[in-house]
Amino acid sequence: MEWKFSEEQEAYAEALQDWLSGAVDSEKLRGWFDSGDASAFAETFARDWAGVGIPEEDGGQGGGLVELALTAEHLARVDAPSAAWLATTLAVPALAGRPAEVEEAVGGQTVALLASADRIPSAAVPLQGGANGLTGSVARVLAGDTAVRFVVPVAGAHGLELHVVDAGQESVRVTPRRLLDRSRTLADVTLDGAASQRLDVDAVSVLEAISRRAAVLVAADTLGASQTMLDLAVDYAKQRQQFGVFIGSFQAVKHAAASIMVAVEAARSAVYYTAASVDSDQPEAALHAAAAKAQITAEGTRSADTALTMHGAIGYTWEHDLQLYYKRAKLNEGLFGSPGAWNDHIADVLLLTAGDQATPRLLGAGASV
Amino acid sequence: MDFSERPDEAQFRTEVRAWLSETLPTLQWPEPPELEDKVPFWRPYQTALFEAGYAGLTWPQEYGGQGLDERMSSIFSEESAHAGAPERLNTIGEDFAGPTIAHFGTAEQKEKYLRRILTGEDIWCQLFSEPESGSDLASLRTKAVKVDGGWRITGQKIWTSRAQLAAHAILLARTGGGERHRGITYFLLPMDSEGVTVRPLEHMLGEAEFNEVFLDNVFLPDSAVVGEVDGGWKVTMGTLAFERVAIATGRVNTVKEIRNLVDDVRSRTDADGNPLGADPHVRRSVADLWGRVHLHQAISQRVISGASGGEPPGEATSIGKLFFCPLVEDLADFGLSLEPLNDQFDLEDEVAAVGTGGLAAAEHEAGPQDQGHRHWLRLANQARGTAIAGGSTYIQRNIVAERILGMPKK
Repeated sequence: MEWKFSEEQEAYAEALQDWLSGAVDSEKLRGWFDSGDASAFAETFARDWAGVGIPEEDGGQGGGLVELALTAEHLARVDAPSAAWLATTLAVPALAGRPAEVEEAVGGQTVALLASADRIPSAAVPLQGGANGLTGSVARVLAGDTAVRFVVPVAGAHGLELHVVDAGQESVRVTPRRLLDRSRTLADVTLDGAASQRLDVDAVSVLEAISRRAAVLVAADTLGASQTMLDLAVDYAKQRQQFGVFIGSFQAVKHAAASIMVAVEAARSAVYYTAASVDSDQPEAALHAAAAKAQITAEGTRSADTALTMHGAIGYTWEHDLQLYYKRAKLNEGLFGSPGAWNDHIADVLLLTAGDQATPRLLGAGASV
Repeated sequence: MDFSERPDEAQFRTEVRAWLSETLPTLQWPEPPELEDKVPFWRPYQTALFEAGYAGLTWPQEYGGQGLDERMSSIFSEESAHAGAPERLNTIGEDFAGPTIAHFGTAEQKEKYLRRILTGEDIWCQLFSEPESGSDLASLRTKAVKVDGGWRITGQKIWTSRAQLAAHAILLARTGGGERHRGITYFLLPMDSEGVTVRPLEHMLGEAEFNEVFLDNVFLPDSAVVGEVDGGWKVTMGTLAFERVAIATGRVNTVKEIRNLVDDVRSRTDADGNPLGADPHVRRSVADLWGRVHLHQAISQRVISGASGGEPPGEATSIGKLFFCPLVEDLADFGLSLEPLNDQFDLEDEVAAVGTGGLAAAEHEAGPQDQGHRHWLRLANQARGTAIAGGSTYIQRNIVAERILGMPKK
């Protein structure tokens, strides 16, 4: 195994970082968050970058999950609004064989999986299909408020299906929800006899692929947010004085910073290792993805609390940017499944015995111990 | 990021696997559990490694090594762990002392010492720590006084692993050219020199693994100095750099340990006869440990890739030990917890319960693949020692904060 970015990947990350440093700052973020409208950012970002990580034959710029994870990490490092990008990136594999829709998605027309963001995508509750269109409600859909299309899991007569639904129909009702973390958006979505087209894909395996992607990309998001929290906390400890010395000279503070750094570098090691494992379809790729999501997002919230304590009271204010990353890390822990939910799936695969009833559907037939 | 193996790596793995499966059954199993009994078991294996060209994999070829990179070396370690190869007894010689001599030593020193490390003839130990100098190594007091043709060394060393087995030691002593790290010289000491006394210390399980070493007016010739007189700190930093990759990737194969643990859980029932694997707490604990092992594996691969590419040790290397030590402790503790109270018996009591002439004898009977209670008990305690050795957890955190994050010393 070689853990190393290619020259193209290094160059991509650097260019993206440069672009983001010009496009995002604290003042702009707060403007978007206060107005509840980040579409200006989402549109320019999509125009310049959304094709990365999507195969060229599908209308993207090529690259794979490592490039997508780099994107997720760097978006989070500046707390950029990323619901539209993440939702579209997750949903695109369902649109295989539909180049026109992929092209629109890459061009900034958000596509979202119609599944509750509080659970693992493969555990999505399917809507009931019927002659009169699709009917049912799904709460907490990532980017549900800005999506122009939904990819909808449907319980068909012969098993799970995926359909595409145009969000502009009258039969589609969207109720935006307001999160503590303003960098992502959720909405409750109700379909009342919505017209749909069935997608010509294997629904189960596409949802499993989406789950693996979601795991890696949310973990990568926590990596980015944690790195920034570490930078903020260390900078603060180097300039804040108490008892006549910089607080960064106290061992308690040093050890707190070191513990965040352990989490950040472990996360960096595992996010990219796992992305490569998933992309190259390693035998344990699904377990790797589950482990990365469970471990990294749980540790990310501990890092957030440590960074907050290092800041003292200033970190507890609305005015200081730490709260943005703190909330981002907290949301990531539960986004697309809690660490407990992902660990349950790992246990299902590892501890399955002949007498067990449990079927580790998420992790797929290829998973082995 | 590339999971594929290079053709030379894949070929090497195949060869190593075949060699291990041929060679390991020829050893005089079982492997004795206690350190002092291990040498006659281990030495023929080390000799076999040398003769087959598997000793000193990353050492330069001119000193009897193989000149391979860390990726190849890690393939050998993986295959060894999976095949159940004997414990490496001469890690100080192979990983620290040898590479230091190869880098900083004189032609005479290289000629005299290096090959014998690889053949298994000489085990080495490291005489660095002292009763008053643990984390603060540069405060060491052992004195070297210049005499005609050499030096007279007096002082006391402590926590010296394997000193009772060692033929030679790397030794730090104060030659007095300056304050703290400016007045230290790096020596090579034959452990059978007149005036060297080794007194074994029992660790918390009651076994003698490390030692006190007393140096009473020991004579060393000028030719025993490595590097410059008073310039020993620079050589010491070299030794510690050689140590870093080994520490960051860890000496315990955590992938193998978690597999053992999963097998253990799958095969057991609780006191009421229910499968342990059905217990929700056990399930989430196993999954959590599996996840941490996954992260450790990723860190190790990153460290090995960096070292193979000739990069200086980076962030992943500096956090390796801090991630690895608590993971091994928790793996072993969880293994022990599967049978409540099993970790709480005195070893002597365990001996009586086993009833076949002692723990060691019981382990003989269990054979080299024994992955039961004794395995976890030893690992659980060993892991505590590892967290202290080579810079304790708290010192490691200081180092990360000051050297990597640039936080103020004072």
